[in-house]
Amino acid sequence: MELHLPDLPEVPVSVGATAPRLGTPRSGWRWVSGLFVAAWPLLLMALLALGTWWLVRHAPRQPDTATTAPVRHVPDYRLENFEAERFDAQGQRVLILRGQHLQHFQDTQDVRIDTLALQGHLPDGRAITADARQAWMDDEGVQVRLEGQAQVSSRLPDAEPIQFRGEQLTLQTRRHDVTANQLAQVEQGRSLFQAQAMHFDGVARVLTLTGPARARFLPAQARSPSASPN
Amino acid sequence: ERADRLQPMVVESDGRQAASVDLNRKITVLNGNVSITQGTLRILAERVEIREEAPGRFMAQARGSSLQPTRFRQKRDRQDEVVEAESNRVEYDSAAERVRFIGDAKLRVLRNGKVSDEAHAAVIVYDQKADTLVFEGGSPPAGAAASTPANGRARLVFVPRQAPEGQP
Repeated sequence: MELHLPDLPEVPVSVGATAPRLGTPRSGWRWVSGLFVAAWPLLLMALLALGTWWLVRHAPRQPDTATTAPVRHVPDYRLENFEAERFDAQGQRVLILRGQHLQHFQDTQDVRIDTLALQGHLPDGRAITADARQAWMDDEGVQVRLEGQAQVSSRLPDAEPIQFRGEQLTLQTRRHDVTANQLAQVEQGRSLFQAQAMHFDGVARVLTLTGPARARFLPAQARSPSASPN
Repeated sequence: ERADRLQPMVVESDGRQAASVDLNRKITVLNGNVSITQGTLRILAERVEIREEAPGRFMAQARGSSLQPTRFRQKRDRQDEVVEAESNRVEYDSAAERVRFIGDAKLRVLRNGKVSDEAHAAVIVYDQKADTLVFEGGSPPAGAAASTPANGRARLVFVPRQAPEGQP
């Protein structure tokens, strides 16, 4: 039997006893096996991806060394009876450090020196020497905290040297500033100054004394008493 | 006393304000209840400036405050004689042994604790070496051997009594 539908393209359609009709068991199985044959590469890929995901989830995690080990304040290197020199960008030697023991601390980037002897020079001719039982320095050697019979001598060419003494002095090696936050003494020629705290501007050569201050001036005709200010 | 000039000059402040020392120009400035002590000489002031004019030669300039003039006291080489003075400003040249009291200057000489001479002038200059007092503008003490030239600059000379045996 021929069926002519006016607005559809002529497609041969066979209707009748020979076409397998859905719903019978033999055609269902053939459909599943057909589907499986067509889709097994996809299934295999999915299975592999699942396996990889499972592996990643259950693989033992690499221990993160950076966070687990707390950085302790212990020296990472030491020097004994050393001498170190520092040069500026123009190759001028600006700092010489000598000491018995040097310890460098990685966590704070500080340097601790026992029995320090320091010499500093600036291009404009200013020179400074410093010594103390102990010193703490930042990594670049700009800020030096001197502790224990600290002495600093700052001098200009053809001028009287200025001597600083105290239990704790802080030296700024780029300007030759000297600061004290506890009792300290400054001597220049026949003048001696003493105060609870002081700051010396190494560039302007001006000393500021904070708190009760004492100055002792020794007239030329007077005998020279010992260094102690009384 | 004349021996004062051989003593160190000690200057102290109570620290209410910071003191400043220009170590290049050798100028020291202290503020707030400042005292200068040198042997028996003592000056109290609100502000003191010390200059080292030459190595070992120190000039002190002391200034009082609006409430409190500068005060000066020094023993003289004579037994129980003390000079006291007050003024707006004091200039003390330790090498020349000369003290200038400037501005409303009042000076007293005390013998055995009692005022024996007293003067008030615009400026009084006390020359320790020559042992003289010069008054500028003002009234020299009564009964002192003083001559008053035309420019109002009175000049008073202390007549030293016979120095006791053994004293230079």
